[in-house]
Amino acid sequence: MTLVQRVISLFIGLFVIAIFAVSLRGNWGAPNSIEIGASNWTKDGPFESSNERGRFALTYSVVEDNSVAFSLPLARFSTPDVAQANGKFVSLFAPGLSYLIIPAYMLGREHELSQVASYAVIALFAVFNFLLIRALVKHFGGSFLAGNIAALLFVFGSPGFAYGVSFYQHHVSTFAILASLYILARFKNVWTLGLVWFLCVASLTVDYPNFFLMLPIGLYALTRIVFVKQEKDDRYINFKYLGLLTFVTMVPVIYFFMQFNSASYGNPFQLSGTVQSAVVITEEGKVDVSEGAKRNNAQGSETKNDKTAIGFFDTRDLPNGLYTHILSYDRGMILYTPVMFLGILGLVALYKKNKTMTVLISTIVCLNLLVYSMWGDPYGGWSFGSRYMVPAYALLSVAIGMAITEWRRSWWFLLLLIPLAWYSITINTIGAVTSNENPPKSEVLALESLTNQRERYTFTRNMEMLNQNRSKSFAYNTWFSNNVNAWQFVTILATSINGVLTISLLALILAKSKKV
Amino acid sequence: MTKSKTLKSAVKSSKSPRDFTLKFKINPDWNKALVLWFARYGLYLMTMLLVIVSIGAFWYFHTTNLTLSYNDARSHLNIGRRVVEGLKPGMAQLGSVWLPLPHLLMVPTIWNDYMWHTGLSGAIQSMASFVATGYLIWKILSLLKVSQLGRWVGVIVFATNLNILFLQSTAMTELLLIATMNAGAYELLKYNNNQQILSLIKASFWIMLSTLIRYDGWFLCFYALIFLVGQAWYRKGWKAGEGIFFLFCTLAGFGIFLWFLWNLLIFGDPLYFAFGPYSAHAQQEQLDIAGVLITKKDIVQSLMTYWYAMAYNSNTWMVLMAAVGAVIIAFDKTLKPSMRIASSVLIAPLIFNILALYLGHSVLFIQGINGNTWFNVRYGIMMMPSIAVFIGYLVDRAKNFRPTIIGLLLLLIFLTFSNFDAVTIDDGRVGSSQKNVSEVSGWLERNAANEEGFVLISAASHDAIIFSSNLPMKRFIHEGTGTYWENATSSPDRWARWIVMRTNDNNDQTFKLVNQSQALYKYDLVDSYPFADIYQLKPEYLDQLNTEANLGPQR
Repeated sequence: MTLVQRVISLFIGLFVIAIFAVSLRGNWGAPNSIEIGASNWTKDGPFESSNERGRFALTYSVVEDNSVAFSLPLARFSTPDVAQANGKFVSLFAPGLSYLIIPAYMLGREHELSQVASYAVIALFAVFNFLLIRALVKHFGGSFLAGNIAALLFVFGSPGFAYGVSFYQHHVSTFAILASLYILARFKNVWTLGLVWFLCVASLTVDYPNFFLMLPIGLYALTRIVFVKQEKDDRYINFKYLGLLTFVTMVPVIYFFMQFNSASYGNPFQLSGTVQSAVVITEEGKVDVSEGAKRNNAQGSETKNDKTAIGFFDTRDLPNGLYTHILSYDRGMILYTPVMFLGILGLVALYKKNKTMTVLISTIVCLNLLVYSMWGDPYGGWSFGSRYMVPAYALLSVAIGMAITEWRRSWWFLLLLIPLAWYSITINTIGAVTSNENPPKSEVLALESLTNQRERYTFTRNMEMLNQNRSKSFAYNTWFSNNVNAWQFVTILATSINGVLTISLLALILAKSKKV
Repeated sequence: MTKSKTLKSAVKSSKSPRDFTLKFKINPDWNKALVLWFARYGLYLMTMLLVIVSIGAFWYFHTTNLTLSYNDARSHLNIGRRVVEGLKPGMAQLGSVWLPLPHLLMVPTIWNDYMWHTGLSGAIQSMASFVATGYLIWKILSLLKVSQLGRWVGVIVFATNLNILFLQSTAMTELLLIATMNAGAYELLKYNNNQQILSLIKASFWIMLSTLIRYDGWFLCFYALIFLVGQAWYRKGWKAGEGIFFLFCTLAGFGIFLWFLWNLLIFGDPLYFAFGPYSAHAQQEQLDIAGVLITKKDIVQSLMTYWYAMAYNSNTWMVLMAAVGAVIIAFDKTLKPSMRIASSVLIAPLIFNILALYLGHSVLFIQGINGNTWFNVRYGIMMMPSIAVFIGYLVDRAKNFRPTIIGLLLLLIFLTFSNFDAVTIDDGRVGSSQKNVSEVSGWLERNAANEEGFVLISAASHDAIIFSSNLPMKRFIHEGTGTYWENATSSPDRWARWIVMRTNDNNDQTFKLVNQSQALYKYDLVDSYPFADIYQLKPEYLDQLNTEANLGPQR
């Protein structure tokens, strides 16, 4: 890397960190288990979804109560994503994310910023993902600036932005995928596989469907240990037996996982999502079985009443799921991040450079789309855009980086890229500084009958929030709200990001070398 | 070389201390032998496996009481049975509207009560068609120069489709139609390759058979005709085109000609099948009046409805993969242009079904999309063999993506089976294609089996009751029993000990005619059940009742 490239790299990196810092959601304070249930922390605050509440509750319980079992206030805070097992209230989520933020939580608690610090961990992983996308594009032969643009498109031009400033698992899952890909692409020796196995298993503790997303990576990594090689006229099956030692990195994670399951559910092999959830907890602290049986959760949840792991995926849901993730107004890529469609072109460009990685990336993207299209709730409950597709967006961004490198001076490509990029960044900035709580269209009518007013869905709901001068950004609410209104805040952010992207693109177009 | 030395040379490991790698040499002779063995015997192995799968699937669906869930399946079996047994057996019982070949094929076996009531008489042809279609998918893929792997993938995609496995276990006509249509398509592709008249004759033969199974076959006949004539005209001029037209039509169109002739001879109207009171047209007219024929004259609805039918029957992801495969075929320069065009015959079922929906000749309900229930959703399965071919082609051509495609297919197949996702089974269990007539038929079985006397019933409306009652066909007086029907509907108290009908429904011919006879007061209403009411002749009129079939052979 030249000095200029290093400076640009540093500037853009700091820019990304700054954007995430001012967009991060939160409130000042280190609430206890009673305070945390108040509306300024929940509906009007950072813990707007049960996804965030349930995972944070586990962190709180482990740090403050030294237990994986929830106290009654915490259990109520976490409903409906809490279960009752062996007389205790326990989390219904995979524990990885909750444990990951413990150091940040403890550090933040000292400064009355326990929630903000916890969320900052997710933003940090978003920044890591930015760096990894950039690195992958460069490694595949893409230009330096194209890598930066592609990474910007992912972190700010996709729903990855909204989920990088809140408390969801998607950036951590994406990190595991990108990091594994980078290790496999960059290093050819067997020993680095230890890291890959570690990431594979660790990603399962963050979100169980990562099993499917990491499976192609795991299988590909295995081919470093067992492979067929042609030597002169003969073919040999090669077995690098020392590679088996690399599996040892999985052991601590598996041990942790089994210990957690044992402590929570009494069975080391029980997956959290397969335990009966407690939708409603009565005043006496008992689970209301009738409500739990009906399972009518307006806000949606990642956990389901299906009691087998396979039962979460139903092929009958495929048509609706595919439509939801790609074309629907609810969550479709076409509305929330249409720039990602250019990733398909990018895969063609990447294929010319690296066939194996193209196949691997395509497989993971297809699996991501397929698995979550078969998910009973493809909408992801109330959410902004298709959050389940965040890993796919990251991978498509890598491909976009190759497309930008390949066609940076083609007018037709630029005619597609620029407006789509601007639009995607603007929409996702709106989502990031407001809320993730968008109901699916199918629930809007029911919601309207409850509230007796017109209820919006899609990002128009977020725009409505801006019209009311509301934002969930910690920085905005703490420092900027007296100087600018919410719309101005969004405009400044979106313009800055679009500006950096456009300048980078211009520099790339004007540069003589393709490596720039 | 001795056996032990052969073995030693096959597994020759070496340790390389520097890189800690064990190496096992792959014996090239073994490799070659394996490839050759599959090249020679792969088709036989595949066929054998299909037979095993077919029998296993039938056994499973039979033991879970699903093989007779479709109302239409029971009707098909009854039509076949009526040819050999009843008050007026004979070929005329083949009737109209439904084309006759499936029922004719049942005749050799349906005289046996077990074959009739288990549905095996109809299922056997479906099962044979299942195996034949798998064989044809293999052969079509080999015509398209697809490797062994691609052919295996294509056949497996077809053979692991739960809807196909279910339908092949029933007396429904889908598999028979699929087999004959694909046989016709295969011979057409072969003719396109070798230009031999024998292939053309075979294609005509199979298409002719398909025209005697379902009207989809008529469209295929027309489509093939256009293609063949167009191709001959383009290559060799108008005379050649004309020749092909007559050659093809003479055989392929013979079935259609026979059907018109049949309707003219039996019903006095060559278009009785199209416009008669029991025709699909009549049914669709009623639905149109009720406002539920929403695909009629609406191309978007028609496309969407059939898209969903295909997606639910064949798995959405596989349909999308097949679309990619079809596009690759269309642009693959390794295939002759004529072959690429000829391959379009594989999408004939798609065009036909969308057209039929658009014109209002077909009705299809997709639960949650255009109706509250399922109905005829099995029409979407017609594209399954073509989808299998396209996927096999995709696997072959997209070499680097084979692990991805095969991995995704395996995942989908696994999840389909673990979820037991089969929309045709849902239609048969809870959709509008099923009819739970167990209460009516159960009553008849308990109360009429050991008593003398006939049951007056409309076969057009209540064939399922006739079937499920387990009574012999000759106990029933229905529309096809000629003079018995005329007598029983004018003087029911003289012929019918029991009457089964939907009271106050003039669509039920029994009610319509018995009501006119004004003899219903001589009957007690036993009970009102879902789908029909049962009436029993009052005891004081029993001495005047005919309980023997004494009218002799009828014309």
